[in-house]
This record gives sequence, C-alpha cells and structure tokens, in this order.
Amino acid sequence: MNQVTKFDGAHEDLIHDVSFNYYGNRLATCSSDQKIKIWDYNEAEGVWESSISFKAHSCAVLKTSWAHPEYGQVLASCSFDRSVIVWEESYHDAAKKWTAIATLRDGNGTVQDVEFAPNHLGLRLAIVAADGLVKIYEAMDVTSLEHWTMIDSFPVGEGPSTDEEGNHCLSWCTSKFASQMMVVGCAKDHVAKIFRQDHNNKWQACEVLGGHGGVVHDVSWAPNMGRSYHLIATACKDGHVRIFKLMDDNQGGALSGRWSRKLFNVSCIADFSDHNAEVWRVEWNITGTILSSSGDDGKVRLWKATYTGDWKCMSVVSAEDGPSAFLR
Amino acid sequence: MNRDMLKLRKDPTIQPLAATVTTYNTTAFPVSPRLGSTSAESRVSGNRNRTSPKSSGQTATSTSATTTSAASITSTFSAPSSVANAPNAPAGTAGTGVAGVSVGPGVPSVGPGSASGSSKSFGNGYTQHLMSSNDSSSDPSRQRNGQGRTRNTFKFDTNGALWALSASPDFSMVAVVGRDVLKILSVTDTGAEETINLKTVGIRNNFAGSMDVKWGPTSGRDAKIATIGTNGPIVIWNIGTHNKIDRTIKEHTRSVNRICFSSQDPNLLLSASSDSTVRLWDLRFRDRPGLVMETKDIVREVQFNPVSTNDIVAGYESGNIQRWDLRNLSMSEKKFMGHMGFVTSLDYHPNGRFLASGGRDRTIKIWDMDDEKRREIHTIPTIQYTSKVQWRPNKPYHLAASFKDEATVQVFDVRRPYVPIHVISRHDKDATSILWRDTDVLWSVSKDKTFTSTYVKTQTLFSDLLPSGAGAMNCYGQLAFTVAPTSGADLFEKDLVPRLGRPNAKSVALDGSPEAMMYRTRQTGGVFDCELFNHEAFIYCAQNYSTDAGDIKHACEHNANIAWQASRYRDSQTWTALKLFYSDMAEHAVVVSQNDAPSTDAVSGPKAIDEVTQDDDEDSDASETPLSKPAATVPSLFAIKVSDAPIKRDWSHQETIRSLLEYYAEQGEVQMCVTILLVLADEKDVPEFSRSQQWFASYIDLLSRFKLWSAATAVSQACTDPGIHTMNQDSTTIHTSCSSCMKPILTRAPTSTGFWACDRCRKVLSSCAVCNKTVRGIFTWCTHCSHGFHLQHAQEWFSQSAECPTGCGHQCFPEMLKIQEYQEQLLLQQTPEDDETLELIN
Repeated sequence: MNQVTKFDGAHEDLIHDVSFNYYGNRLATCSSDQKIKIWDYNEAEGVWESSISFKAHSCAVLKTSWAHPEYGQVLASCSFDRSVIVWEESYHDAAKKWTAIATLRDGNGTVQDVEFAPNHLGLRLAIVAADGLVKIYEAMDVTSLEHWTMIDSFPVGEGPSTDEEGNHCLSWCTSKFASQMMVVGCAKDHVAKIFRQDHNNKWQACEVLGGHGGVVHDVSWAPNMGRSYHLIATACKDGHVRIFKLMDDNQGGALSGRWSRKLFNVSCIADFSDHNAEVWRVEWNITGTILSSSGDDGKVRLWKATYTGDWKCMSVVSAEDGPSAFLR
Repeated sequence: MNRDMLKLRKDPTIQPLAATVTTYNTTAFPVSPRLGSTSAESRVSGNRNRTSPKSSGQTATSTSATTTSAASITSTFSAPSSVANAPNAPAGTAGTGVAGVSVGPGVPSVGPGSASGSSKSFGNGYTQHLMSSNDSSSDPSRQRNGQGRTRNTFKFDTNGALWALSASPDFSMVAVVGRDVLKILSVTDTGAEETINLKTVGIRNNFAGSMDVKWGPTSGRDAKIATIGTNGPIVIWNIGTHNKIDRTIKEHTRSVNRICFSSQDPNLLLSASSDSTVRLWDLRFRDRPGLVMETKDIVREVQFNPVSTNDIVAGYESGNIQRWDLRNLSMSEKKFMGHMGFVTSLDYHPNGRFLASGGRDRTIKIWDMDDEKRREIHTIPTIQYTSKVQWRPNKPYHLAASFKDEATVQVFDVRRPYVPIHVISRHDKDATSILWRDTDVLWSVSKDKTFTSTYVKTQTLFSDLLPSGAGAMNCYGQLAFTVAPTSGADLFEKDLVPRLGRPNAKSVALDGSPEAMMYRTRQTGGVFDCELFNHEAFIYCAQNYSTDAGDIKHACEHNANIAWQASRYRDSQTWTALKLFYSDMAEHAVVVSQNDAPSTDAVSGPKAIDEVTQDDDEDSDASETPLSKPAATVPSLFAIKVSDAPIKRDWSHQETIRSLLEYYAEQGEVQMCVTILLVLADEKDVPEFSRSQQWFASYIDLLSRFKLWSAATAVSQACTDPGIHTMNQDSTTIHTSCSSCMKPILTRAPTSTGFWACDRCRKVLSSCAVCNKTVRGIFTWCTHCSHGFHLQHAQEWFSQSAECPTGCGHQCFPEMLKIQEYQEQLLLQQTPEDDETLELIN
C-alpha cells in the first residue's frame, strides 16, 4: 500500500476542511463554494464515493465537525457568514438529505472554528469567532437537536479582536479523566492558550504556548491514551509546526481534576520549519503518535517520535496523479 | 527570505509613526489642520498619543514604512496593553514577541527611498501628525505610490446615517444623502470636507433628507444634482452658483426608488417608481410631463446604457429585468426573469453590452444583453442581497458590491465567483452604497454616518486569509488531505482555465477576448494510506486476545501466538516473557538470561506464519521458536529489562511490569496495556497505575471506533474499576412494557420461580407457550399467531405437531420452519466470514 490516491473533491473553489467521522468511514469536505460534501467509504471497492453535496452557507464554509455517532449522523459547520449550522442526516423516501436543524448566529464575526466536545461531556459544541469569543453550546435534550443552549462564553484575549488577519482556532482535550480543557489559538497575540474551568466553572486562560512568529492557524490536542503527558501541535503562519509537551506539574494533579492555573510544565519539544510556507492545519492520528501538517508548499508532512523521543519527519506526501480514490 | 522581511515590515508596533512620518514628509499636498473634527477621529488620535512614545522605542531603528488599513490599527490601539507588553517579553521570545501583537493587513509597497527619510525626520513628523488629526484614522493606511502622491484611505463623519452618494464628473465633489443628511463634500486625495449643506433648504421644502442622489453629468457652475426627497418628489438642485432648488417633480403617484442621469445627454433623467412606471424627464422643458414606460410591477432600479443613449434597463419587484428602447415606449424591448425576488441593483458594464444585476435571492448575475438567450453568464452568490453593485473602472472582470445589513464592501472578480478579491471592512455598521472613484479608490457610505474612501490596492487579498490546506486521519490510518501551493494576485491570471460553455449557451469573455476563462484553484487532494497504525492487526488481536486472568500461563501463551500471527512480533515476545515471569518456573527465566535470545527484538523476524510452531510444548518456547532469531535492529525494552533483573527464585516483577506498561502507554499501545492488566488482574505484585483508567477508556474508545462492540463490552466487563465497569451501561436504557396492558415493567429480574410477571395484570411476560415460563435469551415466536416459545421447546413441539401449542388453532408449523431456516442461514453466513478474516491476517 503506502500510496497516495488522488482525491478530487470536485468543489468549485478551495476546500478548507476535511473531517472524518468517529468510525472513519465517512468524510466531510467543505469549501469556499459554500457547499459541504459527504463521502462514504466503499469497503468492497476501497474507494470513497460521493454521498451528497449541498449548499450549506452563504459564504465560504471553513470547518466541519462530526458529532459522536451516538447522537446520529450530525455535523456542524461554521462559515464566514457568521453562523454555525448543525446538520442532521435524514431519509426521505429512501433519499438521503441533510437538514439544517439548528442555526447558531449570535456572534459578531466570522466563525473560524467549530468542534464537538469529547463524548463524555455530552453533546457539546465549542465555537470561536473572529470577535475573539469562544462559546460553548449544549444540546440539553439529545433527542431534539433544535435547541442549543449557550452554556459558556469567554474571550480568548483581552480587548476585542478585530484584526482581520487574525485567526482563532480551538481543540478539545479528549481525555476522559482530565478536567475539561481546550487549547485555543489566539489571533493577534500569536500564542495558543490552554483554557480550563476553575472551581466556579468559569473558563480561565492557563498555560500559554508561546514562541510563535505569526498567527496560529491551527491547534490540535493529541489524544492522551493514558500517557503521562499531553501533546499539543500548532500550525503557524510563520511556516513552523510546533509540538508542545505538557508535563504534569504536581503529580497527578491534572488527572485528579483539581484546579490550578498551572497544572502543566509546558515545553516546546519540536519546532519544524520544513514547510517553509504558511502551515494551515495540524492533525493527530487516533493514538496521538503521528502528526500530519499541511502547508502552502503543497505538501503534507507526517511527523513521528523516534524511540529516543525525538520527533522526526517520516513522510512527505503530495497529491500526485494516481488512481482516484474518489468516485463522484 | 522575502517572507521574513514581509513580517518585519508588517510589525504593527512600528506602523503608526513610520507611516505617518513618511506620509507627511513626502506629501505634495498641503494638509490643513483640523483638530478633532469628529469624535471617531479624536478617539483614534488620542490613543495614538498614548501609544506613540512606546512605539518610538521600537521604531527608532526600524526602517520601512508600511501601509495598513485603519481598522487593524485601531484594533491595535484599542488594546494598548498588548502593545505595552511587547517590550517586556522574555528575552527568548523577544524577537517574535514584538511581531506578536498583530499583523496589519496592508501590503508593504514603499520603496527603499522612504526608509531613511522616515527615521531621520522622526520628531518632525510626529508633530505634523498630531496637527493633522483630521485624517488620523487613515494615516497608517496612507500609501505612497510611484508618483509620490499619498493616496486616499480616509473617513469623514457626516453626523447622520447615509444611504446614497454620487460624485461630480471630475470626482472633486461628492453628494452624500441620508434620512436627515443632504450634504456635498469636496474630496481630495487626503480627505474630505463639507462644503455645502442643503439641509436647511430642504427643510424649508418639507424634506430633511433623501433616499437617492445623482449628480448630473456637469460640474462646476452648471452642476445639477437630483435627489429623491424623503417626502416623495424628485428634486433637481442647482449647485455651484446658488444652492437652490431648480425643479420639483411630483408626477409620480407613489414613492420614487431610483433615479439616473444619462451620461451622454446631461438633460435626461430617468426615475423608477413604486407606481409601476419608469419616467424619462428632459430637464430643459420644465413643463413637459415625463415620458412614461408603464408595467404592472413596482420598479426598483433603472439605468442608462453608458454607450447607447436610447437603451435603458429597469429592474422590477418581481425579479424581472426589462430593457426599453426610448424610441418605443409602448413595450419593453427585452424582458427576462433575472432573480427570485426583487431586483436590488443594476449596473451596465462600461462597454454597454453586459449587465450586472443584484437580486433579493442573494446573487449577483452577469447578463449578456446582446445574446438572445436569457441566461446569465456568471453568477456570484453573496452573503446578503446587494444594495449596490458597480463595475470597477478599467478592470473588465471586477465589480464591487455593498450588501443589506452588512458592514463590509466586497470586490469580486466574476471569474472567481465564490471568493471575493477583497473584503473591505471599514465601516462599523451597514455599508449602504458604493462608488468607484477610479480603478483603485472605492468610496462608500454607511449607516455608521461616515463617508469612506479606500485605496483598494493595499487591501489584503481575501484569498490569502483562507486556509488552503487541510488534513484528517481516520482510525484506519488513512490520511485525507488537500494542499495548495501559495497563490497570490499575480498568480490569479495564471490559474485561469478556459471556461466550458454550457450546452446551448456560448460563454462570453467580458474583456472582449476570444475565449472565456474562469479561475480554478491549484489545490490538490489525496488519500494517503500511511500504514502506521496497523488496524488489521489491532482488530485481529482485539478479537482474539485472551483476557482470562485465571490461567496466566495459558493466556500469555495464547496471546503470544495471536500477536505473532498478527505480525506483532514484539508483542508476542512480551507475552512470552510475561508467561515466564508468572508461570512460577524459574528455569525459564534462567533460559532467558542464559542465551539472551528472546530479549533481542524480532522485528525483522520471519513473516511466514508457517514457521510459528503451533504446539504448546513449553520446552520449545524460547530458543527453538523463531522468536529467538536475532535481529539487531532496535534494542528492545526486554534486552535491558530482562538482563538487568536479578535472577532468583522469587523475584518481584513489579518494576519490570511498570516500565513495560509505561513503555507501551508511551507508544499509545493501549491494547497491550489493557490486555496485560487484564491477564495479570489476579496477580498480587502488579503495580498500581494511576492512569489505567485512561488506558481502559482509550482502548474501549478505539474498539468502538472499529465497531468491535463485543470486545469493548468484554473489556469493560472484565475491568474492576467501577467507572469503566459500568461504562457500557451509560446512556443505554431499555424501556420495556407489558405487552397486554402497556404498563412499564420495573421489575429488574424474573422471580426465583422463573416467572416475570407484569405488576398490574399479573400476566407472565414473554412466556413460552410450551412451558409457560418467561423466556430469557432467544425468544422465538410465530409471526402469525404471535405466540412465543423457547427455541428448544418450539423445535420439540413442532417436530411432532404443526399446530400452535396454546390451542389457538393456528397452523404455525410452516411459519416456524421459515424462521428456523433463516436462523440456520444466519449461522452459515457467520462462519465463512470468520474464516476470511483469518485468511486476511495470514
């Protein structure tokens, strides 16, 4: 195997996000052409088949996120049109259809990232918009997803952020036994911060992941898998991919859920400039052992730790002509 | 490193001063000091006073002047703390800390010549800048272009929400109107100032403002402007000599929506009204009523063709667009459905052939008016419906649009309909109308009361802000990704591809070139199978590993085999070692340490499965199996651990097990962690792990991703941790109710007699028709008479009788036969599938 199969999403403009569902057998792509496309894996043929394509927003669709399948086939998308839409797949006369069951539009700026919380927290959704506010919504009644309640809202930095080049991004910590945490890329400050709830359940900015020479384009919190430390990767406009290691500061504190502004010793354990161009996305595999980064040099790079714990580039992938894995 | 230089120049902390200095030292235009003429401006300048000294410390050595939009600078200032923090950044991050405040969206375009000038005349420029606070909000956005002129990016506050604007033919004056604003501003490259206020005259004539304004094709002393008064009539003004009303047109019976002067005949004026007429007025003839073009539809918009005088086009409430020939007013020359919902805006392309129309359906459409076919040649879906659309002068493919309820103004290239070239956000509230001053300067008015001029060239390219790369990995090790090489303005033309004409519609190029083009991104995508996580081995092991804590020796042996078959040679060795540790036979340990063989890794060991000895003979385990084949690739954990361990009869394996599990956890191999913990569950000297819960949870999560529900449940059941043990019960609720009275069944278990009765009607629930006891497990029932049985009882009964045992008289037998056949089929189907999996692994 070890090969690249070409994938033509057949979108009419840039594709901004691809995301797999929980089982990894469905794929959602979203694009500037305002559409979301869903692809299903045909296991027999080993190809991705287009399931459906629908107009989702009235502007570029920036990100999509799948909810845990426990809640059905549910997808959330965010867009330049300042809204977040929750979609649910339904069947009408044997025809698949994605229906917008909820539209969250109370922000004042492009919604730049959306991510469903890990399943053990319930059906929750975190969004961050250009106005620098992170908002967490929850569907109280998982049987009717029309109603989402904003349960939390906090600014990522001080003062309003209207920097048009600013980008915010977020990633949940998926660990079930750690306290609720997320890492947020804060546009104008050129840092990523870890946010945690304090004993009053207020989200507070805690550790800061610094050293970035530009806007942080993406953050990704690695699945913990019971390791003694956490890993967070960042993609930066300055062309660097960075990996931060969060060591438990006071033994077991992070896992016991006790609150403190400083639970972790943060260290940057890897800093790569191989892309030499803006890096847009970083994404971990399911065990948090391999990191992928996509950059403006037209390459995807895969990073893995060696046995001595050094992170090294193990593959450079580019989309070359090959057998197409996608059927329209 | 171009990019790095760019970054340095974009450093926002150096922008305000550097930019200002350059601007004012080199400007050829006198700048009249108008201190704090508006609230917004004074606010900005006030902030600047505060922050400037701080910035100066950093800018003393910085050289380049950059441009940026006022918006971004304002944001920097409004958060002075971040600016202040920058110099205090720790040494290690100082270099980036300074740049780490914000990056202005401007494009640096100042030649090296300006660099020395800015630093030399620093103090001087600073004072000048303070004096000229009128334009302060625009200062940083100043652009010094090749001709040594500062170009206009500024704001002017008119103290009233604005709805429309129109400029004199030479663009030195602009009329701006709103609900209670009637003003004429004189505009230079550096700013605007109010010259005439018509409001007092208007109020005398019962209107305080205007819906729309159009400047006639003359300027200077003969200047005429037309406004639609808020009280209804069209008002023609004589500007220049006396600011007086020349004529008031009241013929329209309902409100007038839009007016338009002919660019060729200065005396012709069109008006579109809700009374369903378009009227043409010749301003030379005061008493002559207008020519009427009547329809049955409210007219929203009307425009002259810039090339042919007799050709006008009107947009209607129904979405229709009609072209009229002024020589034949009885009937429209061409009529087509342009939009779903009313037409909001029309603009003729400067070449007079193409028409841009904005509609309530949130699209801008481009029409070829010469074509018989009534199909748009381009469609641009927009964020909101347009309030005004206008072609960009000298750029045949570009147009700008303002939108309803939208503060931004967007500039599009019709060849790339989805991504605007620029998104200009210079207003705080809805931008209501726009006007191109020339190719690069766009004027706009807004409900935030400002008239704004924007130098478009220096605005950020919107496409640069869009992520062009993405990637995602699934649990099967597939990486789906899209990437694109850096694009930019200069690359746009290169990325154009011939546009495929639709069947029945030839595609037309707007600039007259023979072939119509469209933009296509260079983005490419792929799916990469990076076999880094071997999911097949994972699934095989998950399904076959033994977690039987009762017989460690046997379980380890079994698991070693399974791991081997799944080509997980290291894991196989681990199991073998574990077996030696815990099978209370010291001899094995001695064997291990003597030849040291199993401690070397067998990563490169033989793949052929037939070499694995399937016999469970203990004597053959270490040195005789292929496990012992030396493979000197990577030193294994056991090479260290096993040989380090003191060899004695009753050693403790605690430390070994601890580092073993820590190692596996580090690698994300929760499968091994969990399985080992389960197998060793009954051992006394297994250390406690604070994170074992997390291992279990992660493993169960992985199992469910692969839909291995049974394995996940087995793991969760086998785990002693209460949190994990009850995991499979979370959010799994089965509600049962009595089939005869529908009362919910709350009794947890059948009574000791084997009956499970409904609390209300006391009937036995799901009883077997043969033995009358509650059926637990597989409940078989006849689909016709719906009597159920234990499967075994049913088989026994129906081998002798075809009738239902309850005596209901139904001949169940043929039905039951079908059910039985179906069940057998199911069994048959399952078996080969399992075999296949095995083969796949092998």
